[in-house]
Amino acid sequence: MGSLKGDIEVSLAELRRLTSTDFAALAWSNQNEYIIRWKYASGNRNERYKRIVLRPEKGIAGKVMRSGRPMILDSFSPKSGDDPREYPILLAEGLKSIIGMPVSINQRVMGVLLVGCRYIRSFEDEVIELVASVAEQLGSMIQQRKDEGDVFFPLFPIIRK
Amino acid sequence: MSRMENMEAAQNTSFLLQSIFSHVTDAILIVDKQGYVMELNPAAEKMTGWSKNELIGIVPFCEICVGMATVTNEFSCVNCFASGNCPFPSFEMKIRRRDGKEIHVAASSTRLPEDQSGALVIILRDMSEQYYLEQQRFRMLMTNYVIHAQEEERKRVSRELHDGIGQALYSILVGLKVVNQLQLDRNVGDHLLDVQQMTARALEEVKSMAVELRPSALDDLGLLPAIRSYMKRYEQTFGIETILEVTGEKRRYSPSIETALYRICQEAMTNAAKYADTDKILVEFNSTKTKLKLTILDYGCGFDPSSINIRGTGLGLYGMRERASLLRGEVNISSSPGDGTKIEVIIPINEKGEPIHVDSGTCC
Repeated sequence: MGSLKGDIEVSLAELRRLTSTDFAALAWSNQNEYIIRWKYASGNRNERYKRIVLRPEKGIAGKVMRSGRPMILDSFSPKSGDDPREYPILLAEGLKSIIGMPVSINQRVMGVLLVGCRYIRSFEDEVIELVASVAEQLGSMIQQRKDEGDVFFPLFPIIRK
Repeated sequence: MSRMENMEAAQNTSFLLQSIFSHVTDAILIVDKQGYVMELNPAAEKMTGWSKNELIGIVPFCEICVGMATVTNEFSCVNCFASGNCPFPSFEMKIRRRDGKEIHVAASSTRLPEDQSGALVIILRDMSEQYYLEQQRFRMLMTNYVIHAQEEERKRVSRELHDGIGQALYSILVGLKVVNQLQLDRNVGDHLLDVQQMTARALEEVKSMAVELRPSALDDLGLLPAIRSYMKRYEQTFGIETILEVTGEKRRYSPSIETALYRICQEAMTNAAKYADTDKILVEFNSTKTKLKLTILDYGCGFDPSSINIRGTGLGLYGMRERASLLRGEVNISSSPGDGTKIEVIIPINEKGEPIHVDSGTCC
């Protein structure tokens, strides 16, 4: 087993290949600073995701974390009148279709696994299930190595129902 | 004076009156007691688009008249001047031209004595240009009022959030910390820590809401510090790298200018985040003794300014233009597909940093 970062990045690349998506990333919450960041990514076209700092409940990751449920968009485009602060990662990577899946540790939603395409796509059930199972695997993998870094403390006391 | 001379004088006067009738720039229409036009001068032909032959004895004046302006209606037939009930000799009204176009005119009407035909003489003067200007002025006044009211309300709510709720949450947080220093059961202590975290989060949330509504830095520190901190937040929100370049003297400007430029900058940058697909934005601010120039430049996909409504409503751009024009400034947008977008705002100022050529009636 390699480093956690390496392992996660390998998983993301593999997930991207299996789901034939353009972009895969994992957002993680940081308890100390009340923020969420996109920590790891695969298929990114620029470095913008690294600079994005989401406040709790903001953005796609924040929404998935708050609800604890998957978010699936088939054809996204910015509309006039909506607030672009609700979807910075989609703008940064030019994504049109996404699956956002909550990642939990000890039944607390701690992160969000996102895969997306830069074209309109309606995701098949198998693809959604695959993303869900990878999200679960990532959760248990991170849980196993709980002592290795600062990313594992819970930010939100949200219990998945 | 001999009879001959009398006749000559009368003839001269009549000739003079005839000449006035045909050359005066006001339109004159004479309407008989049945309401039909019985005579009109060339200016009236020009104004209405009807020729003498088509009109006289054929078309009732009501076909041309749309109505008088009153307090409640833009045009109305209540107290029609032709009925003799009109309380004032001159008024505003609207007429319909032959081509269907309606124009605003100032009018006066005179009823000739009964023994001299009893006809109604109506004199019209085209006021459409003045009417348009008045409408523009009124619209500007309203826009300014709305913008000003919105800004004041945001300021009020922002302060309330920061000083009221924010302060209360801070006190709660301090209180919780004090309680947690007591000897407590471990479970209770952990729970208290959770509550403490939630409170701290709520405090952060309230503070950031206050800043987003209207940063107090804009009032306390001025335009540039406010823009600088907006750019920092923007960078974290969208991951877009921002650069601010300031040239010229640094100083404070009148609140109306600082607010307008801050909002324009915010709008332009939000547009860039939403539509430009860029990873870098450059904001330039240049201040001289006579004008301020703010330029927002992105390196994104650009657009064709002639087909601006393709994405979005164009309302944001309209708002920027409105804000600038209230300060007698201008907004220039240059962009082409694949070549980024440049938004340039220029506001003329005087040596005190106030807007110039701005009538106090139309600006706060």
